[in-house]
Amino acid sequence: MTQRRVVFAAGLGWVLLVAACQNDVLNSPRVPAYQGGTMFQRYVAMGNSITAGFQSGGINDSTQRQSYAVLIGGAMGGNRFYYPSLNSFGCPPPFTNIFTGARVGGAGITGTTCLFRSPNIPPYLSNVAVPGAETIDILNNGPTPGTHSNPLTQLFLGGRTQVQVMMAAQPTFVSAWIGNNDLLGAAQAGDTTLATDTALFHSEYAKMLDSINATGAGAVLIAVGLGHLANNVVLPFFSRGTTWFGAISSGAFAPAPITVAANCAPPRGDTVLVSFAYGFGLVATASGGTPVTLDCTAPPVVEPAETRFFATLQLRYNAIIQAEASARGFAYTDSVNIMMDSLAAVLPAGSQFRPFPNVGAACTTFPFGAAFSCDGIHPNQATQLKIAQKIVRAINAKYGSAIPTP
Amino acid sequence: MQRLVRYVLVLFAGLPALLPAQGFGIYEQGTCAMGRAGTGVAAPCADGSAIFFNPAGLAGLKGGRATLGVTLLDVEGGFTDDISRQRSSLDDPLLAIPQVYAAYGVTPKLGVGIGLFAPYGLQTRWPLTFDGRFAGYDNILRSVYIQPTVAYQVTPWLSLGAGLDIAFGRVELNQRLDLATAAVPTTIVPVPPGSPPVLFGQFGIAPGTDFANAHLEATKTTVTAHWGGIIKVNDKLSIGGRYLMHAKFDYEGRAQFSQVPTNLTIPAAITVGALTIPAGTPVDVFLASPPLNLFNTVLVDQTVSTSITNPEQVIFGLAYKPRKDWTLFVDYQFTRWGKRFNTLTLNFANPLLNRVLYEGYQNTNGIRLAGEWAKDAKWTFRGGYLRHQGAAPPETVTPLLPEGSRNEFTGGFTVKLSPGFSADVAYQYINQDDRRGRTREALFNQVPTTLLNHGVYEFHAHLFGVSLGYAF
Repeated sequence: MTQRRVVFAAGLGWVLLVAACQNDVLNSPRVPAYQGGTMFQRYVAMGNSITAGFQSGGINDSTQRQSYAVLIGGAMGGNRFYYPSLNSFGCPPPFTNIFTGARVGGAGITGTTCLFRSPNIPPYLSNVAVPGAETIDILNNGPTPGTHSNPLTQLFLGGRTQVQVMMAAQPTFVSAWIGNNDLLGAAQAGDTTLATDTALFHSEYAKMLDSINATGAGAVLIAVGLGHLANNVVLPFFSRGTTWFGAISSGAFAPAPITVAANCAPPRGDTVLVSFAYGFGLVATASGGTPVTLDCTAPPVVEPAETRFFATLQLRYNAIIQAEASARGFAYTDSVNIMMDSLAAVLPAGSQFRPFPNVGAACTTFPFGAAFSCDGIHPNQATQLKIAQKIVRAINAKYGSAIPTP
Repeated sequence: MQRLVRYVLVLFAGLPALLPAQGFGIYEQGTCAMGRAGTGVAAPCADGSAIFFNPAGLAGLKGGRATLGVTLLDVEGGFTDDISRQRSSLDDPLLAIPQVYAAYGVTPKLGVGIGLFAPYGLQTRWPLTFDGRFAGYDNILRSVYIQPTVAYQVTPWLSLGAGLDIAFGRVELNQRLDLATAAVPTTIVPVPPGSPPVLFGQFGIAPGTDFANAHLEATKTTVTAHWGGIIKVNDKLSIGGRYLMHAKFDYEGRAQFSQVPTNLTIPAAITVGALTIPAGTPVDVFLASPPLNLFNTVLVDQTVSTSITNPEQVIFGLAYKPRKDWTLFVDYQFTRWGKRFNTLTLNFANPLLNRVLYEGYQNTNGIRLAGEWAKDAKWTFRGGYLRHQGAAPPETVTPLLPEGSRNEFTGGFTVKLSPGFSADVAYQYINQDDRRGRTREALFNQVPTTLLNHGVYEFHAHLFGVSLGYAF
């Protein structure tokens, strides 16, 4: 009898003690419910202006939210995807009309206008991409020689490098799309010597991948380019010399005193590329009353040999990336380039990639074609979505996951 | 005697890391009472600790009692972040709390005594890798009371006692300052009237970038009082109660700041307001040089003041002897945190640094149960259990005091070593309910909410008490 009472009392006491404990619990990070979702709990995107969400010669919160990285982060459904949100109107604010120089925010806003970040400072960054970054900039900041830091490097990374910020975020998955600027800057200048040589590219790229490996995260590596140069797919930022020859010859910029040299005429003119910056820089000078001539042998013009160089360089970069991805078990995709090749071929011809911008048109009408924002280089919102879809498919194919398509 | 008092005060000045009761209250003021789970307001231990547990308990004392003891605290706890799942552990060392009581029965009815105890205090020490370092990584609150006490047996069934408490208070806060949440002076980036200043975080500085260390230290002495009464209903049953008044400390002290290197460099020239910072400028140089010159303008050594009130305690209890060798105890405790610890305002000589911490503490209730068995004239054994609420509301569970409701289990014994000497040994295990909390204060002195909570604090402790008593 006594023993039963003791047992009863002990049992009652235990129940009371358990009832007296009211432990709070950790709020578990949301684990994506689809197949393979655990890998995508915390996604970090590295890269340059495309990844950051740069459009129409500027960047602000609206364009940042349209980045493929943000779309993928949302589709993955893991932890919140944080990007370094810029205060309105941006840094610099995007163009509303690239031909007049008008930008979001209206009068007084210029290409040097730079508003800082939102006061809602996230605990970590998921999108660590910085416009203008080349491969060397992933692990190095200015003023280190050879780097390309700019005010956005400070505003986004605060004195740290992309790799440091990526690692601080403790990612489970990383995307890296870097290398476009390693050849784009050289192409804009028409100077092959400014391109990053493949040895340096490989070295810096491998260091970046070592850092990703150190986190234990999975990764997708995105091929350099927005279309294959080898397939003659060229950003609408560049126009053929022939096109310029026709436009100037037909008086498209009259009464501005601009003339065009015969070396821009076909057939040679079909083989050279004139950048928007160079060509419309001359138009702007002429509009000021100073006579100018577009010469298709001038240094900024991309000559056939230079075009071949950049096309080969793109292929070499991508071969390096593909080999590294294979060696490290990461996903690699060239599908964005393939998609852009297809867009360039969409009929009516030039609807997606205009061969020559619709001069004077507002940015809302996509003067560089339906695939591009108002600078002829950066994808617009619709193309960013297509890019996100391509990358998600590539990830799912490699990892057997079922990330919903954005 | 003066040297002894000074020595004892020095001992108490080192009184550290105390988290064993509601809020920053401390109840482990005697080894015997510790074994009883702190019960005994109706029948205090005979070691002089009645000075704290019920001043009326000194009435009827025969001869004198002096007790010297120590309680060792092995505190373990930490914070686990929701997202990263990283756990930061409390960095408290093994701590020692000394106890001193002396009491004397002047007549069969009149008893007097003096005791030193610390009914309130805390120390929380965290590693400098913990995100809570920006709220405070080494926080100390000490309140040492010296209480001369007198008790009188008014009738054979009623005793009353009272003490005057001279309370020595000291508060110390060590914290890091986070550059990401520091305001850029409006002289550099003007803002419209009424708008919050721009933060360095808006220029990309990542959260968790230490750039300065702050050390705040202040002291104050104040006076309060303590009353108690015991009704002896019959030989078996006693009823007791006590009331410890609140004590308000208007602290005055100094704040000292020192620079902590960020080792960051501005990667490219950037324009901040009218100022252009060249590429390659070390952030530390930028902060320490004109026009900011932070460590010669804002973050200079200066006066700081704050006010903290130790709340009143009201305790009622019963002691019942079902058998001659057994005594059962039950105590109820009410602590009035709700009125006394609502906001904590830090006023600096430079008002730009002023801070308001919204604590919003709630009144707490605790229940204590214990039993004591006098085996023979030499040995007495005891054990107990107590449960009490946490004073901090869900939105103010912070690194300063991440407290919550607790279950505590105690056991101990007294052994008579000789006709004059006796020794007490006790053990107490504290298990605090895991509590959701935060590591940071809200920006711009805003009222915090539970939305800031991002992890769980857990805490438990082992306490070992030993004391030596002398009857004369």
